[in-house]
Amino acid sequence: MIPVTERRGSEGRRDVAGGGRSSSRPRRAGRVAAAFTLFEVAISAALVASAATVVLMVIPIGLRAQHQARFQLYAGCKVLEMMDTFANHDHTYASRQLEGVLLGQNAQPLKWPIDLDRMMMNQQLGLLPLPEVIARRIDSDGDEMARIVNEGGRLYYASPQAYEVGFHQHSGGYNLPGPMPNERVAPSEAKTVIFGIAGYAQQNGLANHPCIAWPYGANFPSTPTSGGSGHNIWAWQNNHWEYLVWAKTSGANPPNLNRLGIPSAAQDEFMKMCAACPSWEYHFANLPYLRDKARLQAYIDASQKLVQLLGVDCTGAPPYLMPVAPKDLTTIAKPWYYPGHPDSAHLFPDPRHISAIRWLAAGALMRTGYYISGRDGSVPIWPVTAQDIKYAKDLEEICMRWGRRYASMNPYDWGSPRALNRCSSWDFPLLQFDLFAPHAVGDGAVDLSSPPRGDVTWKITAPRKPRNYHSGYAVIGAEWHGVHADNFNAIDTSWATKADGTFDDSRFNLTEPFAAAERCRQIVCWAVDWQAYQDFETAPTGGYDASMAFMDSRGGYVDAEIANHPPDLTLSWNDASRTTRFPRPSVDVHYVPDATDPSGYRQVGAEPFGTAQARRGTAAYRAAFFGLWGADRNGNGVLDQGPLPPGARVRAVSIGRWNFYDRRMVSALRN
Amino acid sequence: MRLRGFTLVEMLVSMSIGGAICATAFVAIRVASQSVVAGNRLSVENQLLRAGIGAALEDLDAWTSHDDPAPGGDRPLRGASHPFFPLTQADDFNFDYNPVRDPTASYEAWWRRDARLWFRNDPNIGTSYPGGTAIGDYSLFGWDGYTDGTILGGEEKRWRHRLVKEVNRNLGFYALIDYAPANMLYAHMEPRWDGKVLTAFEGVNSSNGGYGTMVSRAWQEDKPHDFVCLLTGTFFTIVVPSRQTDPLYASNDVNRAMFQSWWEFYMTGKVGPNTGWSGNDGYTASGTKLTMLPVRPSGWPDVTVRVRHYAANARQFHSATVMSQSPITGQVFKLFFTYTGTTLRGARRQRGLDGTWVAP
Repeated sequence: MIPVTERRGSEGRRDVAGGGRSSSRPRRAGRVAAAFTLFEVAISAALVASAATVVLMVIPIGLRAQHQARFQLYAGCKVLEMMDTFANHDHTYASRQLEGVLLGQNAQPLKWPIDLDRMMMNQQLGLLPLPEVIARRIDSDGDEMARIVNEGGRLYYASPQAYEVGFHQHSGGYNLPGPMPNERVAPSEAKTVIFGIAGYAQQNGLANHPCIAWPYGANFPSTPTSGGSGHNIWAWQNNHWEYLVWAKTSGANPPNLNRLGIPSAAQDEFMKMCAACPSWEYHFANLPYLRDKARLQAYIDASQKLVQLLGVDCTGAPPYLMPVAPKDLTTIAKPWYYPGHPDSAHLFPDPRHISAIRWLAAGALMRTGYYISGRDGSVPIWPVTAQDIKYAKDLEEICMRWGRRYASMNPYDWGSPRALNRCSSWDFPLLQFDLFAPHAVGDGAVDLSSPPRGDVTWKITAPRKPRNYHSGYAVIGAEWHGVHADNFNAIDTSWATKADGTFDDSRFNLTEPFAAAERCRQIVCWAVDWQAYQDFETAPTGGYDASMAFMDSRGGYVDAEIANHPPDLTLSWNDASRTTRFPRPSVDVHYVPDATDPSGYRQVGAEPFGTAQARRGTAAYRAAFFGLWGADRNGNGVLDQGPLPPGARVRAVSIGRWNFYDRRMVSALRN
Repeated sequence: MRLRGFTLVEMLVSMSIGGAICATAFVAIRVASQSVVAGNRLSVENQLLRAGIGAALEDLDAWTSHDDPAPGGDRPLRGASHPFFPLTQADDFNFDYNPVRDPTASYEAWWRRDARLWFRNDPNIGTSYPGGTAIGDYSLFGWDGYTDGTILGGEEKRWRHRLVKEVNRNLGFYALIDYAPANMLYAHMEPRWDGKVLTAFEGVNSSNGGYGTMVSRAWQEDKPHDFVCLLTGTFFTIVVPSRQTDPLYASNDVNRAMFQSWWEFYMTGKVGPNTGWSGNDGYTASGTKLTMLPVRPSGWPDVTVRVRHYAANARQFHSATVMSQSPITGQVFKLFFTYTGTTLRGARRQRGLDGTWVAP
């Protein structure tokens, strides 16, 4: 038998052959039998287990990397869309307040989405605000999310009812019922992507003066808008502001205080012209007016006298009185802008002259009308001569040239309307709040301080002080179309002034040079399962500022409800029971065939205005409007709760960041 | 000799431990395998989605799926009334919106060219009757055949009318919106059958959407007939008729059609848009589908990409919809985004259709 030895480490040998008996044959060195000790086995097993664990841990890391990549795809696409919408700002911000009577009574400067984070608070981007209480429970690298929230910003998540922007009314901000056929629920994991804006916004320019939405417009040539009698069709939102500026209307509201300094005789001719105008309404139904030669003649006579009384430089004589054309700019010596320039009348025309020439040109055109000239086949009431035609054509040319000169040379002269048929983005006065010039609103509204403080706003600065302005005459709110009270004094006291009472433009900086870093902000994206919280659908959405509401602090409905509301209104719970969403009373107005109705149709749905107004005054309505009861944030129609208690904290994973330019004005890359 | 082996207990214990280790290893390997599979699937999906997004961005920039400029490429929209129809420009019809003043030329010549974009027509086209002459004969100030004895012979007073007419009728409604300057008022004057020069209407709203209709209900309000007014409650897009399965959109006139998002009963006297001409219908019919992965492993997800160009809600959109469906789970992923891509005008210039950039 061959003896077998086993090496057992360094502790020695143990003879396992022959029962431990001694052998006569010497043991061969190196043939000892050995084995791992238990300790060695344990170590090796631990190593293998660690390696296996590491391998197993790497797999989820790979999975997380792929999930991260997926989140980056979602976020990247959303950011592309955000930037596209931001750069190609649409025009669906109608039905918002344009003017307030007093400075500080118009939240419009805050409603226009000049800043991207303000646009995120609209319906256009399909983003909804994350409840603030939940946002404060989320940790992130460098506490960036907390910093945004602490500084007054909001975080946003993708709407569970994401829609494809642009072609239906959801994206126009309209609160329509039900999903659209092409609407699809976003991937559930996309709901975990959170968006925020890092960096500070620059102070924005104003979309218009809060008390007067200049520039007002008119077509060149055209008649003046008249006072009353329904002759108010075309110029500026159903208001006859031009009549109020020119006519003697001391008893009207607002009274005309003749701020343009129009001679009394000229005012008389203006009123004769208005009384005779055969075509106040540009409508085919007004045939009696359009065939009335006497009225037409009276209009032309009055408009020519008006031109003469105002001192417009003319050639010829009535009935073919012709204003001279503006001088060729290339022949006028520079510099142009100084008082007493010999050609100042051609550089910076008198707004009264511009309006008068426009009205005169309309009169010359009327002679060629379809009906009065017999072009409809009837006997001509006013046979058109070659001289009439030449006069109309020449006057139109002169009228257009003066209108263009006036609008081009000084966007800060607000005495005559701009040509609607020659709209230009450059005919836009640059205005901004002077943030260092507080101004009492003076309407009696107070805050909740003790003692209460009156509302305060800012005064307005510009590169130069506007001139020749009147009262504002536009709509004050979407539900109240009408001329508001005279607010000339509110406009006149709205300008920032120096100690000596002169206009202060020292803090106007919209046109100042700037460093790129000053206008660089970042979209930041994270991923976090915030819907794991128990209260993710019961947490209040707010807070909101006044720009979210269609009503102002005085209770007036200054915007359309269908247009201006919190972005998650359609998901908000209607009451404390949280069983139904906020009702959609707004625009689901359509007609269905109904044989019992004399018209054959029956209206379905409630009007956005009218009878639906009463409910808006209730506390219950306003609580639901501002998301006090939370919202159906996963879009499934029922109240849900997550497993995490509100006291728990979660950590967000950074997904990406994108730089963008922080504009300061309302603008669009394309139409 | 005494042989010593493991005891039964030792064997049982060791077998139990071994079994547990094997089971654990099996589970671990299985989980790892599933994780690897899931990771690979996610990776493939991500790659496909990324590829889809890349293809969409490329097409939104180059418009290749609408008009492939490569030799032998598919160009289904080169015919008349489609947006890639070649146009011949002239002095009184071109896309030079902002003429630079030639210091050697007269101020008058520059002024007239500069003023050609002025709208010299009845401000309320749509309510005045008959088109543009009720209050006065606006055709005295310009129409598509206007001539006079001025320095440019009247071309500056034909230019705007010809632009609206030629682009509208030769390239379609979307093209007109794309080409028109931001302050365009959408109307022009031309001779009627009886020789009277009147404003030409592109249909009226009574049709509630459909062929030849460009005006909407909003035009009947007293608003300037501009871009915003034109796109209130309407949807204009580009449709490739030869690729349509619905015969309604296979007509050669389909790019001169209006889809309607909403309507006003009292204005139109009709309940809703015509069948097939709602905004949703237009959205469904519009766009082109990009060919992605025609040959792929059967276990791979499918990816579809649809690119659309349309105008609605007072702005233009260039959008892409990337969808991926897992053949295993059936789960659908959808990515939709809009993008500031190339305009139609830019795409035509890329192809030299407007006389510049590259040769066709």
